[in-house]
Amino acid sequence: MHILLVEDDDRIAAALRPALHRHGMTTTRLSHGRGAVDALAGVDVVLLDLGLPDVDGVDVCRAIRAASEVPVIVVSARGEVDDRILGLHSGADDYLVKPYDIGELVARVHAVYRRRRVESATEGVADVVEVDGVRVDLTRHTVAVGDRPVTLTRKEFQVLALLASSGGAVCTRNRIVAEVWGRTWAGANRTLDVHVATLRTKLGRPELVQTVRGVGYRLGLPGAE
Amino acid sequence: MGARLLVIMVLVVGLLAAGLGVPLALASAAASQQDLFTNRLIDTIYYASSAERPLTEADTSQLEAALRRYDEIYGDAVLVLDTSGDAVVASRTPAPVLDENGRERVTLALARQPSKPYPLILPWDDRPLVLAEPVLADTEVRGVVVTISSTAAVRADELRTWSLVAVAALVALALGVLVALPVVRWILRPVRRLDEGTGRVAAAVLAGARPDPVSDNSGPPELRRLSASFDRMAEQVTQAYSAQRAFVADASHQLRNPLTALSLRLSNLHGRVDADAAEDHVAALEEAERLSTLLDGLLALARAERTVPLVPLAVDDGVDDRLEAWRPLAEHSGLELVRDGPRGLRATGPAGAVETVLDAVLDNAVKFTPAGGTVTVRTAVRGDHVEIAVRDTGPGLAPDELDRATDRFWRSPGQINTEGSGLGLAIAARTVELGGGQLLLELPSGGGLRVVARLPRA
Repeated sequence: MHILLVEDDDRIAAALRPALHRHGMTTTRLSHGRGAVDALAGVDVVLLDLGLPDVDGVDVCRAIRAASEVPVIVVSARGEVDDRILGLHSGADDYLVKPYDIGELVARVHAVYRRRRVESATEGVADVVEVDGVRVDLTRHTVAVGDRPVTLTRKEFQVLALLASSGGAVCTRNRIVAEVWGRTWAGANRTLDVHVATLRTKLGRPELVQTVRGVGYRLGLPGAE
Repeated sequence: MGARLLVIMVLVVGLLAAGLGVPLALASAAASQQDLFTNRLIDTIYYASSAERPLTEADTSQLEAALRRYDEIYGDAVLVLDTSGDAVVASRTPAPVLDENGRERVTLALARQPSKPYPLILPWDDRPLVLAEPVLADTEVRGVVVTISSTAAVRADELRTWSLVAVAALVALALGVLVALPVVRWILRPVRRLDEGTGRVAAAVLAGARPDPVSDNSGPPELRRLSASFDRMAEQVTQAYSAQRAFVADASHQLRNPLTALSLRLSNLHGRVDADAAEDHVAALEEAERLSTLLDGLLALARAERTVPLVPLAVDDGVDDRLEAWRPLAEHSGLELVRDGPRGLRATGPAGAVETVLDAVLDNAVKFTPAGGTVTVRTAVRGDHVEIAVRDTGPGLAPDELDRATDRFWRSPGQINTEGSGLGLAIAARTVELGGGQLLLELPSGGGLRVVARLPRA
């Protein structure tokens, strides 16, 4: 997968590129917004910083969207709701606030790439994820351990569904909180921990939801690591 | 100050009127009295000269007839006394009796002293004007002619003049006030605008808006300059304040880039550090996360301090939403989360104020209240304010900590290592203040802490 990285900060680019390479991606880097549209040939996903020295990232995003269907993930230090809305309205497929976790970034890159491909090909993502005897039905909102159905609250199910659909990649706390609760607040992280704790108890599989310290959670696939 | 200025103006005008009016009234009274005195003196001297022969010849019938006619026409009694002071001729019967002043004047006349002028006769002094002149025959005193004149006419005249002067003084005073009022208003206009301006500037600075200028180029030059200086100062304070806020916002944005690079570098080390160093690696990731949380807090604080439009808030929506969000954590910590008080209240404040305040306050309540405790969120109406009070059964604070608890980065001395930035209550307080309300910390009887957010009613 080839990534176009539009990022003016050399240090971030220098840290990010080896990380992306390790996840099997190739990168092209632009330190300016100008010329981004011309560099789209062969690019699978664009990572676009909004705080660029020459043009506003939002304008770059609009220009890319006007020229191509390539997925764009906006990566910005501006994390307020208004900024996110503006970013998404200007044609971005996803919006990630700095600082982010590399695992989350990679997961999102895969997600937007897959979504584009699925849209252009046919309908249908895996509706049911089965891990270690735990069946998560994403459309029916049901969970079963073996033959035994488990009753989860809405939020508990949303947390599990998010982890399950990430296919073993790490989900950062920020991402889970933002996607399940819609906003973050002072006790959000601790609330998430509570939900994960009850999930582990209800599923009876303490190792299924793994804690990645300092980052977040992931679904422990059997045989992985 | 306006009233005082007016009093001073009126006092000046009053003194001026009195200073001019009183001498004028006195001079006028003295002049008319002098006229009366001179007239009567001439009459008295005339009768003294014409009484010489009748007294010498002891034939007083003609003189008496003349005196009676005079008395009838002018109403002033005339007496002719001999040298021993007994009445020889009188213009009326019975002969008027002289008072002490009269007898004294007769004595003086017998000693050939000229008539003493009278001091100013005041309107309420109804004693008559008595004049005595000696009757001389070849430089020898043969008797005394005494005229006794009523001063009623003079006194009435005096009263009339005095009232005229008093009325004129009052008119002058009234005119003075009429002239002084606009002058006082003109002088005080900049002062009043300054007074109103300070309140507006304080509100504007707090809201981060540009304050309206106070000076409107009216009033005395000194005050005009003061107004202009005040405007400059307000402008500078506003700029400094918004610069400070912008700095916090910019700094927390700018810090995100190096922090992102740091997090990425740390992630890149994942799985490549020695087992011995793995603990440090994870701790470093956690520190980066903590720093990120702190930046979020700083941004939230900068947001809470910047100007925002005030909107009507449905208190119930905010309270229910936050209680639902906090309930899992509270129950997990063994706490009971209770909602109390009337529903359907509406307040005014920045959008999301209820949620912001409750998040900060509930965070502390849930963190510091031991298992088995209760956290009560109670809504109430107090006057024209809506109160949202959160009361916990935790350890509370020391009384001297209540004021400082809403300071930025303040943390209770025993809780330095508890998770959190120390910005929660500061953000809550600024948010409520932006809405024109107040965040109060109280120590209720029965222990624990009570945090009350007071917002204006919508």
